[in-house]
Amino acid sequence: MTEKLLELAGIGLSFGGIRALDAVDLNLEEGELLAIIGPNGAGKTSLFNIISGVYAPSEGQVSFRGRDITRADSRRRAELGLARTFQNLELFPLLNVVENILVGRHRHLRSGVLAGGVWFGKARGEEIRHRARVEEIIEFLEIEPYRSDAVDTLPYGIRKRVELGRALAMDPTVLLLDEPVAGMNNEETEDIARLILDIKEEFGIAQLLVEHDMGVVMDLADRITVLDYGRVIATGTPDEISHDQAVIGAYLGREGAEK
Amino acid sequence: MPDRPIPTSYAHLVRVDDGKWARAAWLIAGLILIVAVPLAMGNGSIAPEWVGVAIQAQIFIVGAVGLMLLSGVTGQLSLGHAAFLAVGGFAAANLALDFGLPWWVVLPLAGLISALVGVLIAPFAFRLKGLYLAIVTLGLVFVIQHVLLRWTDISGGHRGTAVPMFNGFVDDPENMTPMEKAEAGFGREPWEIGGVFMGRDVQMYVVFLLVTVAACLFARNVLRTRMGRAMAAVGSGDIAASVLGIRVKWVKTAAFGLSSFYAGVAGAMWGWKQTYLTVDPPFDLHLSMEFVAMIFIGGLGTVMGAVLGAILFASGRPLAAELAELPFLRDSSLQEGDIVLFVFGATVIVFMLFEPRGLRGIWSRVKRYFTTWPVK
Repeated sequence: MTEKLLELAGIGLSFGGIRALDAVDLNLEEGELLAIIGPNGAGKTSLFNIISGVYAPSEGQVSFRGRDITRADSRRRAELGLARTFQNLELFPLLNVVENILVGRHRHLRSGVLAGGVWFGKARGEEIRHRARVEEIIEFLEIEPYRSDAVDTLPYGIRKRVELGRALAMDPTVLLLDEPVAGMNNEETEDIARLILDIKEEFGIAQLLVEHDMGVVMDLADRITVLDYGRVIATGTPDEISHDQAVIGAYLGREGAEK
Repeated sequence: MPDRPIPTSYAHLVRVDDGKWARAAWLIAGLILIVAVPLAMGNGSIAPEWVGVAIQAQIFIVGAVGLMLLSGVTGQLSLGHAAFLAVGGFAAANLALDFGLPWWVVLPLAGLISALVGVLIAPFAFRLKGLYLAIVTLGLVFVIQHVLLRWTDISGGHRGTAVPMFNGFVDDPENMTPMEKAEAGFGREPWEIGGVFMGRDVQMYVVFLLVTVAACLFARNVLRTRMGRAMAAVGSGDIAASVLGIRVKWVKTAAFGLSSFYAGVAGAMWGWKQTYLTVDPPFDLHLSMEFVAMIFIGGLGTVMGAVLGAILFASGRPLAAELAELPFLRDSSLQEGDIVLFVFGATVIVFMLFEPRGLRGIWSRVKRYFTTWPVK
């Protein structure tokens, strides 16, 4: 049996009396693109927060390459190679585009306050080496003209790309994308969709995608997991999912499924 | 004026390079500050009163850059900055009085002692945010004041203590006569350059200028490297930062340590300027608030903002005092101090309303005007 890259077993999460997630099982394999879909409030973002260590699950286990990381904090998970973007952009307004992406290199850099303040020597060498990687990412995302702009002056679609770049700069093994095309027009959506495929094919990074845009999900995903009221109601290829009665029921109502 | 060469290597790309005009401007400004200004001070073209203002500005700059790193960049609002200045000031006094250390050894040590206190305070910031942290740091001002006033061996109690600034190592400083202490002190021998004599204050201005420039460059470099970026990340949110692999607690600790190091250095400079320090004034809540106002007016998040805010505050006091000489104000029942406070308060409000990006925002607009000229 091949070792699962990321495996969730029996994940439950309660907020007071509200059951956000219930017995969720999920696994992600190397290089795979798995989409999580479901109606609003189905628990998709909660699931992301559990995987990236923002929430601790009430029960169940998260493992990464066979290793239990349920109790590991976000920083530890980032060091293991888990990267994520946020549904509501979380760019750092004090930093420009290049600097935001360089924050993604944080775990690969070593210089501290003293070396940084002195600049010459260790910090400078490091900045030069990692700047090279960041420039590759900027080129890949085609955001060269915005390189040294303040992030709050950028159009929404570009900001989303910068956040994607910041996650890519971590050289992650798993990339969690929380609604990467939300609020975008067709052209922007197509650009991001192409980038997501390139990330899979060129970099071989496994991706977990939460998205409402069905066109994007059906076109890109290798497999789809459907959540409804905090439970997994179906998992399968896009083709299987589009014909699944339970899924159609969840989206269109029970009557829709019966017709 | 597209005067920037096209970058051809990553080494080029990571340089701070605003173009040849900016470089020329910095060079000229530097030469004026280190050569022309001291000469003008020496021959009396600049009144002694304004030499004092310049030194006060340098002290404020070092202190404000420190607070900028903590509150402006890392987002940890601190009202305790004055406490760290106090620690640095009294550390400087005692390192000289008890161990006979020269000022250039005392300066970093005062910073380190203050940084140690800062690192001990940092854990409060692990859980407390915003105003709650501000209240804790506000409490710190009172705690440090109380401890210093009671610890009379260190502070001289309400009487205060002398802060000698020795040029070299001094043996057995406790048994020196005041005369001998004065002989070993900084600025005893005037400097003579081209027939212009420069006394203690002018020498202090020159030395402090070097310290200030070093402090600003260090902060600038921190901000453009790994830890500075991590600080800015923590400043906008713990969660986004930790998801990127940043140790949030460590970054906050480093920010507190670095910030209070700057405050400690500023406190030592303050002691040397005054030659004699008491606990309160100057190291009270009011001073903390002034530092917060400096970084707000200067513009949060950049070294340049802290520098501009500090200069405004240092020069604002004598300017406001001149304002008090205006006929209609002179005849009113207002004290000079009231007018100074009123002017500062009004300035803060006006900036918050009309230029939230501070002096730094105005500066970048002016810069943009010139770099894009003649296009508007």
